[in-house]
This record gives sequence, structure tokens and C-alpha cells, in this order.
Amino acid sequence: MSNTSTNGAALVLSNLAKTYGPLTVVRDVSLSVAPGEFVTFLGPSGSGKTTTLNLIAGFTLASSGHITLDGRDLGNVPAHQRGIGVVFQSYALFPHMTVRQNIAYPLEQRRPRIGRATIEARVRRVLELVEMAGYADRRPDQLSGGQQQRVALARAVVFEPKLLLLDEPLGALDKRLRENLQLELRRIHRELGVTIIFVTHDQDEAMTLSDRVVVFNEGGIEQVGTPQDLYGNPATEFVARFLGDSNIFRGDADGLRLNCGAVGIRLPSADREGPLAAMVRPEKVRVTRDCPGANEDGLAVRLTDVTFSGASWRVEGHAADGQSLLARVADGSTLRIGDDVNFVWSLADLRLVAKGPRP
Amino acid sequence: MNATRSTKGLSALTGMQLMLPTAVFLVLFFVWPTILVLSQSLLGEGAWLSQYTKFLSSAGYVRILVRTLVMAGLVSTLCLLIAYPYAYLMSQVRGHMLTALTGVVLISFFTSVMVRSFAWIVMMQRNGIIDRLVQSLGLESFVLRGSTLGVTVAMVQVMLPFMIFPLYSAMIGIDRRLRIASTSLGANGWTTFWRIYWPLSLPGVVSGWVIVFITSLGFYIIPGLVGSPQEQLLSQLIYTLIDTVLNVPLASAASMLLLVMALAVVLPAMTRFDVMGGVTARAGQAHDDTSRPAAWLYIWAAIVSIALLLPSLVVIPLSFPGNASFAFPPTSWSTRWYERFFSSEEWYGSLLASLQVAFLTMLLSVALSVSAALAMRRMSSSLRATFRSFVMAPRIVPGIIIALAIYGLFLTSGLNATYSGFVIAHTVLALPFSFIPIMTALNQFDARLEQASASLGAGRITTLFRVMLPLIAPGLVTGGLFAFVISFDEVVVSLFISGTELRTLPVKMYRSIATDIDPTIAAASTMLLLLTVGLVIGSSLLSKKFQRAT
Amino acid sequence: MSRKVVSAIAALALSGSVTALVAQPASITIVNPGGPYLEATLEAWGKTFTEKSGIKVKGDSPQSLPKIQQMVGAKNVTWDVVEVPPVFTLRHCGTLFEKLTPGLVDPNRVNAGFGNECGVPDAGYANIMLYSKKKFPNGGPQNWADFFDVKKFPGKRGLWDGAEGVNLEIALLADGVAPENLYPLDLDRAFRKLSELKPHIVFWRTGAQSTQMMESGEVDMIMAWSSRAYPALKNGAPFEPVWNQHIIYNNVLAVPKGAPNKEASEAYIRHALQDAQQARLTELYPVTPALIGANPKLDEAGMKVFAGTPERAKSAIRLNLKWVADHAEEIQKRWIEWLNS
Repeated sequence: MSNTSTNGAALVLSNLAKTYGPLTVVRDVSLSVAPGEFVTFLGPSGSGKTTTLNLIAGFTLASSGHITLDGRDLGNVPAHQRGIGVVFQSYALFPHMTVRQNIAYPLEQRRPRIGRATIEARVRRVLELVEMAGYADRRPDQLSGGQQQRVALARAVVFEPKLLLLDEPLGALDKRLRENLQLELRRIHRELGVTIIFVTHDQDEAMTLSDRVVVFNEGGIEQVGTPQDLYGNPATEFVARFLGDSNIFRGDADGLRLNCGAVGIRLPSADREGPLAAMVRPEKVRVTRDCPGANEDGLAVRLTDVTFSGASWRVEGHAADGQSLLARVADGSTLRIGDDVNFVWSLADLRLVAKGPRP
Repeated sequence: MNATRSTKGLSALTGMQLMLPTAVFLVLFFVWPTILVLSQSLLGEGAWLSQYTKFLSSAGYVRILVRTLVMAGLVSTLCLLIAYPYAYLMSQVRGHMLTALTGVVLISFFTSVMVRSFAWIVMMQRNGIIDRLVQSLGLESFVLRGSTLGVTVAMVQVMLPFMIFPLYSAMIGIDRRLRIASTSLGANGWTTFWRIYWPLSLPGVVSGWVIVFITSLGFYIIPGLVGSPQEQLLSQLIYTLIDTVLNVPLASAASMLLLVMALAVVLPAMTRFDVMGGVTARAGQAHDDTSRPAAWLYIWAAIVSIALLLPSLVVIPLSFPGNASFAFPPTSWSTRWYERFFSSEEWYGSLLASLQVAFLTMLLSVALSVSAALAMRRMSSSLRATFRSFVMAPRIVPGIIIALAIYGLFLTSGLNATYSGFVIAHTVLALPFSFIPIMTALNQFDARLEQASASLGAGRITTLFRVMLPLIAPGLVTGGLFAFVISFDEVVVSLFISGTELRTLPVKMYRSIATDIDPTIAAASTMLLLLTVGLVIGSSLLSKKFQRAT
Repeated sequence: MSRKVVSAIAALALSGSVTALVAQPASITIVNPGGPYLEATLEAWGKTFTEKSGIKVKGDSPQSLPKIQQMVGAKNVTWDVVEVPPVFTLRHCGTLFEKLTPGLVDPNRVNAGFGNECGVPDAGYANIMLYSKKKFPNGGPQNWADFFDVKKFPGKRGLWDGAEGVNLEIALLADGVAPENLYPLDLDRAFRKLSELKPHIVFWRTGAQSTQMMESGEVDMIMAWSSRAYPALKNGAPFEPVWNQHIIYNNVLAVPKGAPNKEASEAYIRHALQDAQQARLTELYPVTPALIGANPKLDEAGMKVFAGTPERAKSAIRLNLKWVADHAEEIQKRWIEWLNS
């Protein structure tokens, strides 16, 4: 949730594009980020999310389009004058400086100059913020990965930037540490009220952290929305597949039916014609030996796998046309591989999505 | 001034801008004068290729040409055979042993060629150390000076470090587990060596061989001082043609042939291997596991170490004789040659001149290398390879040709016997040596640290001085040291461009050997030797400090 | 104007009085092979010249033909007076070297054949044979025929690595050619004779090497420059000079073409070729004065290798350097080919 009292800046990207010769790596990206908002750029590698981040930071220059920060056009501003904090995946701590020197570095660049005592005080404060107070005189190579990332974060926020860019900052850490740091990050976000752009290819991380998620694909924005929005109502097949598990049916809409080769499913309304994809999330699927009821639809499935995963059971099977379908149910203990069952879902849970290229 | 342009400029323009100083420097002071000198081979009387036909139709000249080729091939092959086990041992040991083996090579490498040539002369002359040793064994007298064997021995000894560094550099890159794997697959030691280790060390072999070959092709000092006129090499012939009969066109033709031979070897090797990179290996890389090298390797390394260090030591006793003689051991003792060194303006003046020239050369070479290396990071890979070869080019042109070229250029511009002239000439020669370690260090530098620095508000200059330069400091120190030593040691070009106004120490030493029997040169050599040892130990301590800091 | 200056300097040099001159340079640079010889020259000629004229004399070395050529070509001549082998001035008179005002030295007081319009003989030496008294205690070789006779006098021979002006001549003399019939040199015959001796030759390139050879006993007989034999004899090397069929050789002083201070240079040359200066140089460094009749005070070793006595001057073999200069390229080429065959 965005803070009501914010120290963050509003970021607007309009029609941003980056090409290298014939190669387009970012195409027509437009986005508005509210002050204090936590926005995640999510996408597979090569989708343009990191390049967009580099454009915002000023490490790369846009081929066309504009970037404004609190209304100020950044196109003319070199990276070191943008006042944007950046945290890198590889931390990028200066190996020849101590933690203290690393963090003091940005403060020493401010003009007018900041006094030594003030710098010292602010370094101490930010180290407390990231819970690294005792490590000021260590060198980066004497710290663990998680500690280095905390220092990198401290360094990026110590000069109180209004926008913080994080480029897969947790990517190099193991799972437990990552989850800890995610919580830290949320806390720091709340305390500082800074606007954050967070780049990741990890959908769980995106869901956990963000106010809004921007899904990138092939250099452009596929969809923007809250995590719930994107999960519940993916606009495209790509978003549906990228965020969480899904059962996707592709075919030609014909009135109330979607003909997918050998099988067909019912559509909630008849207002779409032609090639189409429909999706239902596995947890919305009921595994039953009964037939679908009213406002429901289903397919006969022979089970190929049944696994217990703690909170739920994962049930997989083949439909008549061979398509693999997935359901997540509370209790699957009575199901056996080879059983013939029906996968049933409510028509209200079926989502129509734009058909994309088959991954 | 539009800020967009300046931002764009920083990443787009600086590649060109940074390249410019080095490129202009090399074109002006190396490429252009070299072309001028070589083009003289097309002048002279007769048809435009007549100098070449004249040269090649002389049986004596052709014999010298062939002898030069054979000699260079022999020296580089001997160097390879001797250096390979030594470099292998270096790659297998660690700790003090590695420091010692590296130190020996570095001291030898940095010991002035003039000192080593002088040492060989006194060792090899009649009644010299070798002769006496042989006589004391009851054999007939054995005078190596003036023989092909003597020249070969001296050249191999001087060239060995040039072979050991690239070999070592290639060998530490070989994954030791590959040999274990090969053994586990049933191959015996010999098969493993031939099928696995040797092919993997080949880049170092080729690189070392080519560098030694080219340097030997154009070697002037040792064949001139140790060799016999009956066994002339091409560089001496070129010098004679110019010095006694002023036949510049014919000398240029000979130079051109020398250059063609050098290129004929370099170019094919360059397309397959990184020939010019291996000059300056970075020592002291950690190994994970330790195997126990065979005992014969240690014995071999001990012999090579003695061969590298011992000859230079003869200059020490020779610097204390009571009379003006190079007899060994001296019959009486005195320290007057040291007094003479410091009371003779010509001697200590040339030392001061050498120090100043070397220091300025170091600054200029490092500055040009840094800007060239920075420029290369912003280039496409094909352009990068071209530019790199360009910066390395002075390395593959035999020294005598560069000497002629620069001398001619300086004469028209009044730069002979000036500090600027010496610094420019020495920088042409030192640039390849300072460039490689600096470029390597910059390549290992993480570009994201630059971005991080920018994101933290630091401008390009601040980033350069606070982040980049401190981090590539070991490369800068190595590159600077090389430039200093190359300049401090340079003879051939300096012989041409020195004059009354300015003369460097190696030139003074060369003149001294050529005209007098004056033990002052032994005193000078002894001091240079101590300086070298101090420099190597000091710099290794310094680089240890840097390694700890980074 | 310039004639006035010349005569003024000439008058000055003769009278020894010091008068300020408008066109007088602050210093001139003289060049020769360098080392102790340069020091001696600066002491014997340079210092006295400065005392007389007020012009400082700086020294440089070595004198090298390509340097002179490049300086002249670049019109940036920094050398004023160079001491060079006469072959240089014979070959490049008017092109690399200035034509000098006649009469800088009385031609009757110097050996003929060395000077020309561009060069004034200033000092020299004799190419003499020396043999080891240790190796030949009962008398050594007495002429070049003996020197080439390895049966009669076995042992190593030291020979200069150079073609012009001595080696071909001694080979022909050894082969029985009469001194007056040496020129034109029969190159084939000379090289054939040299080839006989080749396995027994140790070449020396620099004067220092020849001294070293005598001191270390590396050779049993040697063709050496009298000036370089001196330090060996002085240090007690057991060598005996043979004053028979020796070849006197003089170097010349010359002014590179376009040198800026020609008047002062000529005054220097005139100064160098006076009895006192000539004798003084020989006392400092054992060259033979070019000026016949100059009378240096020498020690015993100095007298042994002093080529300037009337009888030694008279018995010397005369060179025809004009012929040598005209055939320099061919001689040089054949020499290298012979050496390396």
C-alpha cells in the first residue's frame, strides 16, 4: 500500500524505447508510478525490465521517449545528477573501501558539502536501519552475501533519494535469507516512504513485496496491476502462465463454446468470436467423479500424478485430447494414479485471456 | 551546451576521445617515421626494387639473413626447452617457493641488458671466468667471446624471462583436475602430458616463442658486444651499411626484410593465439590443491635460477680493482671506481638523466595506457582487437628500425638529445609493456562499480580517481614499473638520439665498453644490480599490500 | 664582412689577445670517437682555444656518418668540427662537408694523401704489427709476410674488423706486392690471401678490444693502432711493436655542411694544428701528431709506439685513400661477404 505521507517521487515513463541497431530491447514503455509506491518489474530474462531500469537510472540513454521524476525531465540529466538510489544484484560495493567509506561515499559527493560529523551521524543511522551497526569498519569481502546486500541498500538510501531502484537485489541469496530480506525491505520502505522500483524474475517475490506489478515481455509492458489483479485477471496468456500455475485452453470461440480440437469447453458469454484462450487456476478446479453442475463446466481426466504438498494436494491428469491439466485440492488422499475423474470448475472462474505464442 | 549531448557524449564520444591521444602519439612517433624509413628502400639508384635485388643477389648478405633467422629460431627454441619445466614448477608450487622462483625471473628480467652483456663479456673473454674454469679442469682454453656459442648462450640467458612469463601465465590457467581426470581415465603421465597438458599450454608456448624470436631477430647489443664480425646478424649489417658506407636505401631494404620476417612469424601466430598478451603475467595466483612436483624439476629450476642470476654477480668484484683492468679476480682492490662514478659528470649525470627520463616515460606510458584501455572498453570487439594490435605494434618491429625511424624524425623536429625526445622515444617502446597489465586490470574491473558510483552522485572524474584507479592500482604499478624499466634499460634507440646535451646511463655504458677499459662500468653495473633487486623486492611488497587491500 | 671576421679571428688566434667579436658564437661543439681521447682533445686543444678566443668548446661523441648526413639533410647541424676518417671527406666533400678556407695548415708539414678541400689532417696513428715476446721469445714476425705465415709463426692473429685502409693492403704486401704497386688494389688476390689466414684470425672491432686482447694474451700477434697499443704496453703486456711496413693513418678535421659557426670552426682547426697543441695532445693521449715535427715529451712505452719519428715516418707504407674512397662500397660489400662466408 502506498504511504499517505511520502518522501517518494512520482515517476512517469512515456513511450520509452531503446534500440541497438536493428535490435529493439525496450519498446513503447509507458508507466506512471505514484510517490511512495512499491512497483515491481517482473519478467523473464531478456524481457527488457533491467534495460528499463538502466534507462531510469541513466546508465543507458533512451532511443526515444521521456522519463520524468516529480515532473522534471531526466533526459538531460546524467546518472550522477539524477539522485536516484540503485542497488545492484552483485551489490557493487567498492572492494577497496570499508563499509563506512562505502556508505559515506555518496554523502561526500553532495554539493554543498556535508560536514564530516553529519556524514558520520548519517552513516551510523543508516547502518542501524539495516541492522549492520557493528560492521562499519569491515571490508566488503569480510561480509556474507546478505550483509553485503544490507550495506548496498544502506549506501543507496543514505543520501535520501526519492526513488530507489533495486535490480534483482536478492537474486544471489538463498531462500531463507531472501525471505528475511524481503520483510526488511518492506519495513524500510515503510519507514523511509521512498518510491521503489524493484526488478525481479521471481513471481513470488513480486507478489509479496509490491503495491503494483509491471509484467514485462519481449521489451514491452504486458500488463500492470496489483498482484491480486494480475493473478485473478491476467490479461494475456503470457501473464497467466508467468504468474502462478494455470490450465489454459486455446481454440476458436463459436458462440458459447470454445473448440479446442477433440474437446470443447463452455464459455461464460457469447460475445467473443475467433481464436481465443481461456484459463482456470488449479485451486479453482474441483476433482470429482460427478458431472459438472449448472454454471459449471468440466473435462474427463485420467490422473497421471497425485502428490501431497503440505497445505494442499496437487493432482495432475490428461484430458481426452492429451492436454495436461492441473488441480489443487484440499484432500486428495482418495485419488489414485490411473483413476478416471472429472476436473470441474465454475464458469465464473474461467478467464478469457489474449492468446499468445505457445511457450 | 545541451546536457543531453553531454550525457550522450560521455558514453558515445569518449571511446574515440580516449583513443585519440594514444593513436595520435603512435601514428606521429612510430607509424609515420617507420614508413618514412622503410620507403627509403625504394629510393637509391636503379629500378624501384633494385635495392632488394642487390641485397638478395649477394651471397654474403643472404647468408647473414639466413643466419639471423636460424639464430632467432635456435634461441627461442632453446629458451622454450629451458623455460618450460621452470614455468611448470612455478605453476605447481605456492608460498615462498613461488615467490622465490618469480623473484629470480623478475630480477633477471629487470637487470639491465647492458649489465648482463658486460657480465657476459668478462665471463667469456680469454682468461675470463669460464676460460679459467675450463683450464683448471686441465682442458684447453675455451673462449666463448666472439663465438656463435657465446652469443647463443648470452642471448638465451637474456631472453629467458620473456619465455617464462607467458608460459607461466598459460599454465596457471590450466585446470589441475583435468590431469587428475586424465589419469583416472587410464592415461599414464606421458600421455596425459602430451594429450592434455601440452595442448593447453600451447598459447603460452606460441606467445613466448614468438616474442623471443622477434626480439632475437632485431637484437643488436649482445651480438655486437659478445659476437664476432664473422658471425654477423642482420641488425649489425644494417648498422654497418649505414654507419660506414651511408647506404641508407640498402639498409632500409634490409630493415624491410627483417620486418617481413618478423611479421611472417607473428601474423599467423596472432590469428590463433594471444601472442602479445603474455609478456606480463600476474604472479601469485592461489592454487586449490597442491601436488608434489618431481625432484628433477627442483634441480632444473635451481640450475636455471643460477644461470639467470649468477653471471650478473661477476660485475661486483670487477667494480673494486686497483687498476684499470677487467681481469678476474682483480689483483688489487680499491673503491676508486665508485668515486670516479660520482665525480664524473658524464657518469652520474647520465644516471640522473636516465632516472628522470624513466620517470617521465613511466608517467606518459601509464597515462596513455589508461586512456587507451578505457577507450577499448567502449569499443566493439573487432575494433578492440585491431586497436590492441596497434598499441602492441612497436613490440613486433625490430628495435634497429624504430631507432632509425625516430632518429630521422627527431632530427627534423630538433628533439634529439632532449628530455622530450627521450621520453617520446622510450614511451613508444614502453607502451606495449605498460598497456597489457593495465588493460588486464581494467578488464577485470566490474563495470557496475562505475554505475554504482554514478548512481551515488559521483561524476566521471571522481569515479575515475576514487573507484577505478584505486582498484586497478596493481595493474598501474606493474605497468608503470615495466615502463620505467624499459626506459631505464633502453640502448639501441638511445644510442641514436643521445648527444652532448643528454645521454642516458645505458648509452654511457655502451660507449664505455666500446672505447675504454674502465671499471667504472662495473661500479655502475653493481649499483644498477642493487637498484634492480631493491625495485623487485619493493614492488612485490607493494603489490602484496595492494592485494591485501583489495 | 665574413672575410673580415675570418681575418680577425686569424689575427686573434695568432696574437693571442682577446677582443670581443660581433659574430663570435658562445661555444662550438667538437666531435670525435670519444672517451679519454675526447677528454684529451678538449684539454689540449679546446681549453687553449677558449683561453685565446673566449669561445667555449664542448665535446660530443661518437662522430657518426649517418648522424652527420641526417643533420645536414635536416639543415639542423649542431656539430661544428668533427674528426672523421679521411675516406668520409674524400667521398662527401661539398655534400656533407664544407669546403674549407685553404691554408689552415701548411701542406708541407702534414702527410700527403689524407687532407683535401674538406678535411685537414689533425692526428693519427700507425697500423703496426706487435707480437708476443712470451710466445716468441727468440724473435717474432718481422713483416706482413711473417704475419701471414702460420707455419713459421703459429698462433692467433688479432685483426681489425674493417676493410678500408689496412687489411687489404697488408694482405697484398704479405703476398709479395711491392708497396708502390699496391694500387689499384687487386681485391681478389687480397681476399684470397686473407682467406688463408682466416682460421687464425681473432677480430677486434674497437680499439679497447685490441688493448684487451694484448693484455689478456688472447692473441700471439696483432695488427693494432699504435695509439691503442700504448695502454697495453704501459700496463705491462709483453708485446713488441714491429716498425716495418707499418701504415700511417691520419684522421681529418672537417666542418659539416651548413654548420653555423664556420669561421670559429676554422679558427679552431688552425689552432689545433700548431706545434704546442699537437704535442700536448700526444702527451695526453698517444696519437701521432699530424703535424710533422711536433715534438711531444713521451715516456718509454710512448716512444715505443710513437709513429712520428723521422725514420718511422719515412719507412711507412703510403695509402691511396682516394682510390679506396672511390671504391668504398665495393670494398665494404666484399669485406662483409668474405667475413661471413
